[in-house]
Amino acid sequence: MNESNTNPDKQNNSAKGTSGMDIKIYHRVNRLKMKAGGSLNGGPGRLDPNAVDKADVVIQNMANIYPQELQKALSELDEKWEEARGMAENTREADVEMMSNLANQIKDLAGLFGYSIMEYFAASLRDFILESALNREEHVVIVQAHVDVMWVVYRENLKDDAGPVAEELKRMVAEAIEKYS
Amino acid sequence: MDLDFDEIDENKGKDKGEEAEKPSPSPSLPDKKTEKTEKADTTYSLKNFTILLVDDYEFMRNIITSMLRALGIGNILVCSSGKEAINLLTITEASQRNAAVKGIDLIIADWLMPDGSGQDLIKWVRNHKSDKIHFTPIMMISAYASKKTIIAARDFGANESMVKPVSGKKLSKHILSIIDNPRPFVKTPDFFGPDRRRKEKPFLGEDKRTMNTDDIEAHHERV
Repeated sequence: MNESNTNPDKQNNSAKGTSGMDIKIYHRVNRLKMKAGGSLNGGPGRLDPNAVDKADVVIQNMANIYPQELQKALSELDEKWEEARGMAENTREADVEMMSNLANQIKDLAGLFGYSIMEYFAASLRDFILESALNREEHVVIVQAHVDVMWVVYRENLKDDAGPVAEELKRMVAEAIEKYS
Repeated sequence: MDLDFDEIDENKGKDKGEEAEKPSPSPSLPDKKTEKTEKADTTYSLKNFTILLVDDYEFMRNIITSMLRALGIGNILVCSSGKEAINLLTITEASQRNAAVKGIDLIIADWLMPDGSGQDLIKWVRNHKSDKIHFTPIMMISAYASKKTIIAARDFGANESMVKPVSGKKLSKHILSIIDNPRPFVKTPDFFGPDRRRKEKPFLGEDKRTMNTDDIEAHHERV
């Protein structure tokens, strides 16, 4: 293979365009296909369906760890929230980033194992933190509402985002957002 | 929801203003619709692949690593931030001057990370001077399913974008897409990355593109 063929500095085959724009297109050899055992002129390939199933089994096998992993993440969120709450408005930047990141991790975790109600509140918290930057004292109430509700969801082991309990919790958070935003 | 570049392309066809800045269609772009009807004739082996996985969340990193192993990936390197990944890529690139050291075939990176985001990492990779780095395929994984995030990933030069939660099916779909549907790389004054259009599509109305084929310098790598 000749790597230099793709290097514009080593070639002199450019055409002068009329628009004066400098556009280059690099058509690369598909090394990945070759590496995977495919033929460059062949059609699309596939992965062993058993391997794909095995990859999903990894998630199923980890499902029993979800409660303890969630508790760990919620405790970390609590800790960061304690720190952020004790600080003056507009000085919470570092904590805001950490908290939004933790909320995002909780969303990932809950989504992975199908806990849609926890995923919903974690995403809501993350988005609220990122949008508001927690720069007003009233925002404390909204974050606290999220954190409280997420602990309830954890303790009650709620999974679906439908049903009377889930709807009631969503309503509580929505009211806090509406009142204090 | 698994919104990805395909869905974005479907929506983008209606936005002719954006198309106006694009180079003329590349003759090598595959027709995805045709491909879908083709029967997969080879079962790939990924044992010689080296993947760099970048995710700040350790639990998720461990799960994705195990899933990649289950899919048969031979070598998996892991980093917990964009910064760490940049350091590793720098060392790997320098080591590759020794022919025995293998390069990284694919980067899988989380979008939102506190210490060097996925966005920072793509920018660094696509702006790197070395062919061994800047052509590396990148798959972004993100908890954000918004069109805005998917478009941003594409416009920074990601090859694929996968919305969490991860699954074996999703991972394999995006890895296969990178193997089977590589797009030519396009370099314009403000973009370097895989061609942002994944398929040729007719459009309604006036053709607002200002370039013609004379404006495009094509480089064909040979085997």
